[in-house]
Amino acid sequence: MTTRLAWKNIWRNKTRSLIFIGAAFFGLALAIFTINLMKGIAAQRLDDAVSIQTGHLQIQNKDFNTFREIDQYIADPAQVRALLKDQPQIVSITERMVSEAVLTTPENTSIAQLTGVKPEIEIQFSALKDYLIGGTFLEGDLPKPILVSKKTAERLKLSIRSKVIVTLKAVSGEIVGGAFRVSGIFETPNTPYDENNAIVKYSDLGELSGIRNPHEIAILVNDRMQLTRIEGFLVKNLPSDYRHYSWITLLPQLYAFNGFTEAVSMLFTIIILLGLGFGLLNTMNMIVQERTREIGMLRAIGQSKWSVFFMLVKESGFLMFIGSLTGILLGIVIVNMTSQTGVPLGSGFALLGIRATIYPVVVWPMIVMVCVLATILTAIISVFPAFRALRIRPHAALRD
Amino acid sequence: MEIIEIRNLSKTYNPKTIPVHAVNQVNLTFKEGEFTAIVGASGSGKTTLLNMIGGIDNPSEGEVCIASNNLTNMSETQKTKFRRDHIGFVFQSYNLLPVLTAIENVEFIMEMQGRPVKERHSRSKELLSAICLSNRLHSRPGKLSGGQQQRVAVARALAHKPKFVIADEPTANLDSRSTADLLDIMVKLNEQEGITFIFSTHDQRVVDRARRVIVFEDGSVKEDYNK
Ligand SMILES: Nc1ncnc2c1ncn2[C@@H]1O[C@H](COP(=O)(O)OP(=O)(O)O)[C@@H](O)[C@H]1O
Ligand SMILES: [Mg+2]
Repeated sequence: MTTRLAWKNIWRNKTRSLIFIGAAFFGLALAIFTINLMKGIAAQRLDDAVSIQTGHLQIQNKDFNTFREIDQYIADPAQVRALLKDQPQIVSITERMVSEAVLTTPENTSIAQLTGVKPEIEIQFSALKDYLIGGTFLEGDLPKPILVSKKTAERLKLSIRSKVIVTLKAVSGEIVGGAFRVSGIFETPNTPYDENNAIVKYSDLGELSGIRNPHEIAILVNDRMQLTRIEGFLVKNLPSDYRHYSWITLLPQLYAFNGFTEAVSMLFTIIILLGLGFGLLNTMNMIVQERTREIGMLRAIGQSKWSVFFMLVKESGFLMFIGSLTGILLGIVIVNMTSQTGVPLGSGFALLGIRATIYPVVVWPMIVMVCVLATILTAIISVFPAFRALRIRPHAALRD
Repeated sequence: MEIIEIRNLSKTYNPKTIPVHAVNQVNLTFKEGEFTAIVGASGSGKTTLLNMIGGIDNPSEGEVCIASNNLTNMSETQKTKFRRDHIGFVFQSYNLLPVLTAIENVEFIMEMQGRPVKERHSRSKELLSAICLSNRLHSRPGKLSGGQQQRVAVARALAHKPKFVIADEPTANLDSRSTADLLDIMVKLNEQEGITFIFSTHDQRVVDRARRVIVFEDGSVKEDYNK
């Protein structure tokens, strides 16, 4: 009975109720959208960074991460490939060769980590192709193509097709060199990466350094939640000569940044919820004040204190939930739509590694969290006006 | 048979600062089926007395017994339930629930008591026809005149067949036409249902319709007579 009465009561002052419901509706839609957009940004930055740099998981010779010697390669990559073959979450695997190198032009010298990649695999695997500002990935007719960053190109006065001498220590211990030609220039948002990296073909680097084997086998998965499971599998099955690392170990700053993004969007949501909470408190206090006589009458004719209390709690609940549930639904619909079409953010945030178009990601745990928070908040807030109503005595009904 | 017994009833407001003796050592009894007007000037203590009889205010001294139940000894919760089940209230300013229709208002107390829908409906319809509002069953109070609202309030007070009905100045907000109509209905229901009415007023035309008149002055009974 109090439920029906509470429901009818919220429509007494339609304007006031609709204002509150509207605030909850837009507030929660915005919160859900923001949370999922931020998640989309974090996911995009992560995808870029892991695909260009480390993979979600990486397998190396057990000493390579410490010493980075050219002969610390993966002795039997076929064995590792066979091991990974049956892992359904793995979507892509690339093998890379790595060497410290000196790049020289008549103008200047630069030290870089040279990564040898197989272009046809790498172009699928890595997002670097999206950050080319000139030229092509390693395709084309150039002999010994090399990709350098804009930074390096500027320092060494390089342009597309210009020649650069690469010098490195071969597996034999000799210092060897070769002429490469710039096939593309890239600029990623990650300045330290750009300053220190250049990319060549796997076969070209192998020829120069005298090895055939990769130093890294990088893996992309379709579900990061499965990483621990795959890691568990590797712990059991990977030969002891090799070691595996997850992106969290290899890119700790990115991991920390993603946690930070999540915290900020949660904080934003909490601020919206608190705003709504105060709005609700204010609205319900007004309602109790206005209805003092009516509540007194209800008490006089025999409605119990607690029944009045819960009637008001239900009114708060209705006000909050009509607005926030529809708002959350709208948020989910918008996120679903924009996760297909993308949200155009413009190029203003490129320096932060944020692309011009972001695809929000629906994060159900966060949405559930918002629902739980909204419920807890409503439960807490609604108690206060209802408690005030408990103090209204029956003879309030008789006052004029 | 006596249904209300009031012994040595007193109410003092602000006992510690400037005491106001609103009701002073009142002894009264009411019999089943009585139709009583409590008459007195404004401030004479009528509301205070009725509130104590209705169990919505606590006496400073003395006691109120209703059908051998001593209200003074009851807890707040017991009193609330007692009011719901045994007392009907009519207020000066109608106090209907604006979000409910006439018939829903009349059913309200029976609904609180958890009576079956069928019983509630037939009882409410019976009463709404008795108060000549059969054609306004589904109107909300806002769509009814003051007189019509107060008739619905009387029907609400009676619907669950309480032991008696208390009405504090029920006609104070009504014009003389509506006052006469309301009195007609109260008299009729008093006779048909045998329900005891106690109402306060300072309107002589209302006093004329009462069968018992209690004249109140400065918190005490000055006169008490049957006509
Ligand atoms: N809550 C209160 N506090 C203090 N004095 C009160 C209160 N209610 C009523 N009074 C005083 O008690 C006296 C009786 O009031 P009331 O019972 O309302 O009389 P009536 O209904 O006959 O007008 C008046 O003097 C009034 O001022
Ligand atoms: Mg009065």
